[in-house]
Amino acid sequence: MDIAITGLRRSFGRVTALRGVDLTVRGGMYGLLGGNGAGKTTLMRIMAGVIAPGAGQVRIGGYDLTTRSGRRQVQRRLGYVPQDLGLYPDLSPREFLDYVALLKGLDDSAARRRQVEELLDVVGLTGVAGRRMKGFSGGQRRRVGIAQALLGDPALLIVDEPTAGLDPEERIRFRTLLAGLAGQRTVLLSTHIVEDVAQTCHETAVLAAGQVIYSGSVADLTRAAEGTTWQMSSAGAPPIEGVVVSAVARETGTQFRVISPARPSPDATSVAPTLEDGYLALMQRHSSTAVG
Amino acid sequence: MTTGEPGWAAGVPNDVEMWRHELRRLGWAAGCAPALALVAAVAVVALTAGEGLERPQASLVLLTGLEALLPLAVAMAATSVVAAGRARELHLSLPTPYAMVLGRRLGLLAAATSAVAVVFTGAIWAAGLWSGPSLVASPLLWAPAVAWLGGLAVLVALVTRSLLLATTVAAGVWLAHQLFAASFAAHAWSRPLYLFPVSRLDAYPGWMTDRLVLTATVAPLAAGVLLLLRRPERMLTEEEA
Ligand SMILES: Nc1ncnc2c1ncn2[C@@H]1O[C@H](COP(=O)(O)OP(=O)(O)OP(=O)(O)O)[C@@H](O)[C@H]1O
Ligand SMILES: [Mg+2]
Repeated sequence: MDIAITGLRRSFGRVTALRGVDLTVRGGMYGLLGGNGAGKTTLMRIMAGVIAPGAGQVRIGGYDLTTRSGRRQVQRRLGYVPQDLGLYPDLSPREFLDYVALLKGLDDSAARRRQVEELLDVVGLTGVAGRRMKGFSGGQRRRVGIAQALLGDPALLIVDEPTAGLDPEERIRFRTLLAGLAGQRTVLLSTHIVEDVAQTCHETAVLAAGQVIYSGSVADLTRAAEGTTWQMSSAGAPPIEGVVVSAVARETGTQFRVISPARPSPDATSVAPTLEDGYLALMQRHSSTAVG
Repeated sequence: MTTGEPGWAAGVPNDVEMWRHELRRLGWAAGCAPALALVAAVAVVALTAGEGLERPQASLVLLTGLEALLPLAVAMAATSVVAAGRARELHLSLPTPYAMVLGRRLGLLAAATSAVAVVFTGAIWAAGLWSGPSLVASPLLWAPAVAWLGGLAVLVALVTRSLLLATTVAAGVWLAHQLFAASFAAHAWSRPLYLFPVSRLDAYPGWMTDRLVLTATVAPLAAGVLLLLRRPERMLTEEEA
């Protein structure tokens, strides 16, 4: 499903969460990056029809989300995993999925049951499908979240920080699962973990203070740090200029990776950037223009 | 596929399954609250029966259970349905409106309330302990008060998004009606608004008319509730929002 957002604004009392968001998404897996409070959750809630947009236009698959009927139409084709996934702890995953499937209007009971069992298998929960969810680990809860989102085979999947709090293996399994789902549908993924976007998305947008400060290919965002990513060794003190990406203590001194427009020290060597470098370079440029 | 699979019941229609899910969501505590309120009245009678409780007094205690305790219990249960529901954000993203989900749960609560009230009425009548106005009009004894107190509690829960505030307001209003019965009865305008005339007042002329007036005043409460339910984000509590 295509997403077309222009001039989207939304505030909560005195706080303005979104101040004029423009975004176009055309299928596949799309990453949404941004710091705490950037407005990712607010944007995703609006796209999921959980809250109404303030001002501006939001169209998903041709449906207008500023209207109640448009929101309902999108919700019929949507799978949504909220950032704070509230589950019913007294239900088993199987019962919970059955309930959500009914609420999604999956009325053919044989087909519904087949789909629930299939999805339990897809997310690897078959072994605990009959156990109450009370006491489930963070990873298990996320799996239930993904499984319920996939009920009804939605054309649009919105996933708000699905990998937060997962161990590295589980995180990788999860993002691979999501990437696999993006074949036939639009998957919108918000995260703080730049690496997750680097490994799974072709396109991404970066949100800062309620505005989109970058949207385009992941490769181009990486290139934003080309010529400004440096590696250098120092006896101890970090370089004065630029943003330190990493610091590794060695016997010969500390090795720093730095993002800086100018060479931070004479012995610094220019290195190929990663997406994280590109993200940090973009953020650095944005904050310096915002302040200056 | 439908039959013989582990964990699945066979051959149950979708509607029934949906209502069964909602009954579980309503929960034991909320679902049994109406019955417990009436059991409490019976328990008081049973415990004091040995100490020479007269029949009129026993009858009054039982009517108090129906007229006053039942509405309080239902108001508390309705508040918890509206203000303490889980997984709200997920519900708000689903094509079945959350207002409808809450409506189903409140409907089940109303059904449970009516069922236990009618059975209770029949039982105390059969035991010869009925001293209410008229058996035919007996639903007017409890239904308007249940709707009024329950509606108020739900409205406060939706406006403040706080379980604590909503239950406090409902309990406060209930207590005021218990403490200031005479003041309510003293004015023509406040008399129909009095929730518990039969159990708290010595005489209640024009009871039927008063109860119908009280029932009519439920309409603005209900309208307020419906209006708030049309704004789904009202359902996100402060922490979730
Ligand atoms: N319901 C609300 N009421 C008041 N303020 C809100 C509400 N929702 C969001 N905000 C504010 O809007 C801004 C954006 O919040 P949002 O949750 O969208 O950010 P985010 O990018 O998802 O952050 P995080 O990465 O921490 O999840 C924040 O300043 C937040 O405090
Ligand atoms: Mg968020």
